[in-house]
Amino acid sequence: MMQFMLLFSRQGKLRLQKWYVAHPDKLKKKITRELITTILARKPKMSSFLEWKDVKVVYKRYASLYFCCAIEQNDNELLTLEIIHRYVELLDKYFGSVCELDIIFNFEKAYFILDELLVGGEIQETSKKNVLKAIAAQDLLQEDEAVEGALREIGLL
Amino acid sequence: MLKCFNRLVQLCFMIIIIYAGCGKTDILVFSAKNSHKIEQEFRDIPARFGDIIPTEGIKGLVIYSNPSTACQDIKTPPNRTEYSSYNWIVLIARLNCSFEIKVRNAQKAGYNAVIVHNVNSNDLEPMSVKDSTNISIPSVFVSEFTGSFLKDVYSYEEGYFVLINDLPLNFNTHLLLPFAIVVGICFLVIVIFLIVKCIKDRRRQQRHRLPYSSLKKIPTHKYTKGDPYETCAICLEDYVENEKLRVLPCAHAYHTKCIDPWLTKNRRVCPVCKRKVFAADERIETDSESDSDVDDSTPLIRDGTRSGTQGGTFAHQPENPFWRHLHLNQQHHQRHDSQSSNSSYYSTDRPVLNVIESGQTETEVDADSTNNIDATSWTVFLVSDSHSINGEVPDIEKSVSSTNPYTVNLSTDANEHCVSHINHCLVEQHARTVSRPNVIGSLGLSMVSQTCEEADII
Ligand SMILES: [Zn+2]
Ligand SMILES: [Zn+2]
Repeated sequence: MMQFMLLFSRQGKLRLQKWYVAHPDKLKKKITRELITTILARKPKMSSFLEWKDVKVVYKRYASLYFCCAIEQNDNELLTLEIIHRYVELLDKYFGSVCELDIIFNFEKAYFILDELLVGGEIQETSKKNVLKAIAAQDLLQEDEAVEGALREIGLL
Repeated sequence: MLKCFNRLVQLCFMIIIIYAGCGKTDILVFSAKNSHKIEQEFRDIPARFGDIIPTEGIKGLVIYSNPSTACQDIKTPPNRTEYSSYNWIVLIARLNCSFEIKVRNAQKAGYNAVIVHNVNSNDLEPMSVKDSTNISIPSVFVSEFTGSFLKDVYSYEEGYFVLINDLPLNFNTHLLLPFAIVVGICFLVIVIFLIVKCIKDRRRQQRHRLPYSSLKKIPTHKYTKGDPYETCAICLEDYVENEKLRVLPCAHAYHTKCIDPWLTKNRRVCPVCKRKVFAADERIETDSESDSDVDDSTPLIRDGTRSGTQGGTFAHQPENPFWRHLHLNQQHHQRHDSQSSNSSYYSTDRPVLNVIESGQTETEVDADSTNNIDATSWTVFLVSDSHSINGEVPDIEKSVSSTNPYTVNLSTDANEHCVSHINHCLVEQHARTVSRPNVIGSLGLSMVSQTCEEADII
């Protein structure tokens, strides 16, 4: 089971975090800080996998962003790498040539996509098509609500 | 960096200039008992005539002249053996006659140096004379304050000697060497640092430049009327017939003589569109190199032209890593087991490992291959053209019917072990798929590879 997923920039700024295990905030901050420094210190030619404390960390860099997952000892690293790539592909499909700024400004969408892909730290939907369909439906719903809200505000409804 | 170096040189020069330009000398007073400790220090000004003060200074005993202005002949220095290693310095008051007479009188009396002190004033002024011929001893001018001190407190009878020193800064000689060493080390460190930085800078610059070998591969073009190019963006001149143009990969053209220095001496980018210039066969830089130009607006996934690292495992690869391996194995097998050439063949098409999803036929093939193992003792590995992940490329039927089974030999023992294990897994996987038809392909594969790892460990 995946324990948590972090997205952070090359400068070490946290962009996204998803925790599938319960930790107090203080510990989360500590883990995040330590992991970011550990990974940023690694050279580009080094392995994407590392044993860190009692978890296995799988990370991959995409342009300016590091995608980093912590998994349990009996999980498969390659599969995790695959999940990361799938997530990036999803983001790319959804935003269209996604870059770090997209994720900064539309972080909620990035979270929605992640929630469609992973539930409780396990992969839930491998089909990109299905995920995008679900997100599109969600967007539509949101739009409807927004329109409805606006109409109600001006007293038409 | 050069600026830095220049400043350093300037600083050195400044120190030298200060050092050389300072005409003032010092009179240092030492006690005879403790000859390293400076008791007192006075300013003075050397005369414009007579001997110059030697660099190591004049070490001597001060005696007040008698009469004090020295306009007549003066008393000779006392002739005692315990003072033979010292010079005799006479202290003379100003006024009543010229400096020339005073110094000549002192020289005649056998003194080695003259100190003239001011009267009723503490100003210092350089002494000068009309005729300085035959004056061989050095002389300095001091203030009245200094004169009275030298006369009353620091005379030779009290056990003091003085050093008339030409150095503006009084270096204690036994501290000079360590100081010089420290300064030298600092200087050396700075120089090494600068050299390293220079080399690094140069290397970095070189990386951003286009090498000549690549420049030659970028096509040139003789300008003829009707070409789509008009004006060179660098020299802003319209192209003339038969001029040599260089057409960059971004389709921007410039005069060869304009663009070549830019590419080779400055940066390998197109001056107009800022796109990087690569020769046709040049490798596009990998992450580590393009580190500097990645920012938060760089697409996470770049165009699919890049090979390898960016694609997932299931993305189409330009070269199948299995292929090479199989090829090697085949060669190996042919070399060593040419006699048992019974059932080894494989197609030259690019085989793609098929993720088994469902379908009865595959079990049959599987069973076939299991038979094969028994018959030939070769492990048979099922591969097919289809490439599918759940929900995306629904070509299961195709994979069933048009499966073009490549039978592949894996001859090494370890592989055999592992592969047979995979086979086992595949069968198992199949059993699972029957019961849970929606099982995910990629998961299935990962499971296989995982079990394979375990098998390896065993
Ligand atoms: Zn030009
Ligand atoms: Zn261009």
